[in-house]
Amino acid sequence: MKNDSSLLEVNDLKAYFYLDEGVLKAVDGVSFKVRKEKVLGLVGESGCGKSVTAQSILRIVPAPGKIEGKILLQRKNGNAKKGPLDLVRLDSRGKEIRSIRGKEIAMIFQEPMTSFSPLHTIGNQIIEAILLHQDVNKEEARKLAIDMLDKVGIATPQRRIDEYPHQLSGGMRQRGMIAMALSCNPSILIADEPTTALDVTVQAQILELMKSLQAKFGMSIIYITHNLGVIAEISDEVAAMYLGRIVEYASVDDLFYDPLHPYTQALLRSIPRMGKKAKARLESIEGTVPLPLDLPVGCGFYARCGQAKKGICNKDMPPLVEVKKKHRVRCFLYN
Amino acid sequence: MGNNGNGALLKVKSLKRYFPIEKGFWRKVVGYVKAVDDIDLHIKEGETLGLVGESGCGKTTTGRCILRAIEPTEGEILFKTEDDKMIDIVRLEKKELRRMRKDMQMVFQDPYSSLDPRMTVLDIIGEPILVNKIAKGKELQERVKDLVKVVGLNIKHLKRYPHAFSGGQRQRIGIARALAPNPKLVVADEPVSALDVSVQAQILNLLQDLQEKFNLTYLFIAHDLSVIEHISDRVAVMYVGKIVEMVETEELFLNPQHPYTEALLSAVPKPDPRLKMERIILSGEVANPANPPSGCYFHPRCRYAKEICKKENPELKEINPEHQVSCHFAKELSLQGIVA
Ligand SMILES: Nc1ncnc2c1ncn2[C@@H]1O[C@H](COP(=O)(O)OP(=O)(O)O)[C@@H](O)[C@H]1O
Ligand SMILES: Nc1ncnc2c1ncn2[C@@H]1O[C@H](COP(=O)(O)OP(=O)(O)O)[C@@H](O)[C@H]1O
Ligand code: SF4
Ligand SMILES: [Mg+2]
Ligand SMILES: [Mg+2]
Repeated sequence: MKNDSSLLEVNDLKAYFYLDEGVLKAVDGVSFKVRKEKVLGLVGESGCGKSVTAQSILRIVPAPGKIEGKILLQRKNGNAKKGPLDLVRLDSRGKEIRSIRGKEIAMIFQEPMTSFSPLHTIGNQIIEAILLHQDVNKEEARKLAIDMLDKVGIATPQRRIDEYPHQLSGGMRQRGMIAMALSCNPSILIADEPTTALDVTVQAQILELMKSLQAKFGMSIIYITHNLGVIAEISDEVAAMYLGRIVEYASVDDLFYDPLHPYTQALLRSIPRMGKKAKARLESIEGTVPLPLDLPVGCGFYARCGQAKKGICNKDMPPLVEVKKKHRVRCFLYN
Repeated sequence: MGNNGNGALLKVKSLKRYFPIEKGFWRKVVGYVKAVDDIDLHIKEGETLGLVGESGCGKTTTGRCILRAIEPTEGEILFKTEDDKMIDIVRLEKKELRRMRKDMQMVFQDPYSSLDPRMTVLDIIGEPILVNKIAKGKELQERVKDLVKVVGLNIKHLKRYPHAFSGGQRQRIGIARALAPNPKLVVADEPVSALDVSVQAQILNLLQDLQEKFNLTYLFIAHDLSVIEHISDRVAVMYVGKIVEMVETEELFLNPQHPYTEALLSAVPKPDPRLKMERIILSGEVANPANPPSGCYFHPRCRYAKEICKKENPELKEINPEHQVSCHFAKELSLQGIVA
């Protein structure tokens, strides 16, 4: 397969929550491709729809959420020749999606405590996951689990495997989570803010670990974070989100060195950078992100945008268009 | 210590705060968490001292001891009075302490839990004014309105409750409350850590404007080094209850002298995909302050450690004017800072 072939293609994905107050459009027409062995970074401030996008892919959006659009997954191994499968059309509790979760698409979260049960040892939980998806016996599964814990840098894994999640530090739990996620050799890993709760020296360890494991296992990663530093470090391509939509989609280099969308530009200017003269004023974005409920027509960033054109930007939603090679922007300044 | 501390609004000497670890029915004390373990620092009038370090290193405990929100186990906290005398907060009686307290206020990290949900904005900001008998009645309302304007909130919202505000707006309310009694020193404990980046920039700018306007002195606590660099004049780096390096900001970032500072700076992911710096990856995690390692607390993770580091705890020493470091090899090592 060529390198630019995509493993996962999300097309016009919508995830709406039907609430008493109205329809909350958490994800509203998102399209992207996850390429083989590449890292796609999803970045944006809290509430912009990053986690719901991830939940949509795994079909774990909670009620009263409903999804629409297409999520085309290139199948693994024996299923490859059947062509891509649209995950949106699967029963969210059915056998098919359950065989995909963990085995073909795995996910790690910000707080591993929520994905590990506190009642079982981490070993048993990893072994469980392996037994569910692989044709091995219990003893072999245990061996695989120990091997995986070793690969993620947990010392004395033979002993650690029988510990409970609360016995491990935050960093070690996150390593355990990664071990569980990778235990079935998924083709896609979704990492939703996996280092946000960790200290910076431990975050550096986990980022390094993820990079080396990606090189070793050759999986694709969707890396979700609000941290632009982490995005710069780990991504090949980046999709910047605002209010449930992708506003800019580019290579990581273009996004940081040639940001085009006013939101991306403002966001990059609003972060303090080390090594720059201290005490200078930061450029901030006025106002706050609204809830995606009953939004006015027009561009979602209109109310906060310093470059908005009245009569245009507040009349229609700008489309996401390719304005340079492999660089898409959703903004009327460019078309 | 040279000319350190001259013109200081606050001087902290040999501050310790140990939390007893109790076990069993009789709550026998089996050990101590040495949350703050013998630190010295000073803050000059009108300056911002940044206090940085990873979680659990004792930043909050230091801040709370300085305000005497908790009692120090040992040490002196000297604060400058109107008539230029330094008085020791630790030794003040209740009544005197209350009078001093209005000079020292705190801003908290969590703008959700730090505001009473049953109080209106007017009551939240008005309370410290009333308690300190600064104003009442109509004058109090006017003062609250001024404060609300100063922090960039709408005076029409005085009768609203905290839940009606976003995180950034709540942090503004918290800042207005802290400013209400006209303090000299503000201890800001991770005031922007819970905020989105665009809102974080608004609050950092606000804090800088207010400092200038009211000649405030800040102890700014954070774990985010880029925020610390942005706001601080000087920085103290903490590790397991101790200050390991303290110096003027630019010097710390460009020319760190403690191996822990170097590693911290290196660990921060930089928003620049072209920067391919060689990362220093520290092994292991922060030591347990209830059971710290022997010698230099950093030695198990330090890539420069030698025999002496396992045995002797290095003192915080002045290696250059106004530059303190606690490392046996502070002068010999040539460490890497931020490449600007
Ligand atoms: N289970 C849910 N029910 C209702 N609204 C939700 C639910 N989950 C998320 N949302 C809303 O959807 C929007 C996107 O949320 P999310 O994807 O979690 O944002 P992010 O991960 O980017 O911070 C937010 O406005 C959030 O409040
Ligand atoms: N009230 C308390 N009782 C016991 N231990 C405490 C208490 N407060 C803090 N500690 C401990 O003291 C150490 C320092 O905590 P803290 O000052 O909150 O650190 P930081 O603010 O740098 O994260 C930690 O190990 C913490 O668990
Ligand atoms: S004293 Fe030794 S162990 Fe501690 S920081 Fe310096 S070199 Fe490292
Ligand atoms: Mg999220
Ligand atoms: Mg703290």
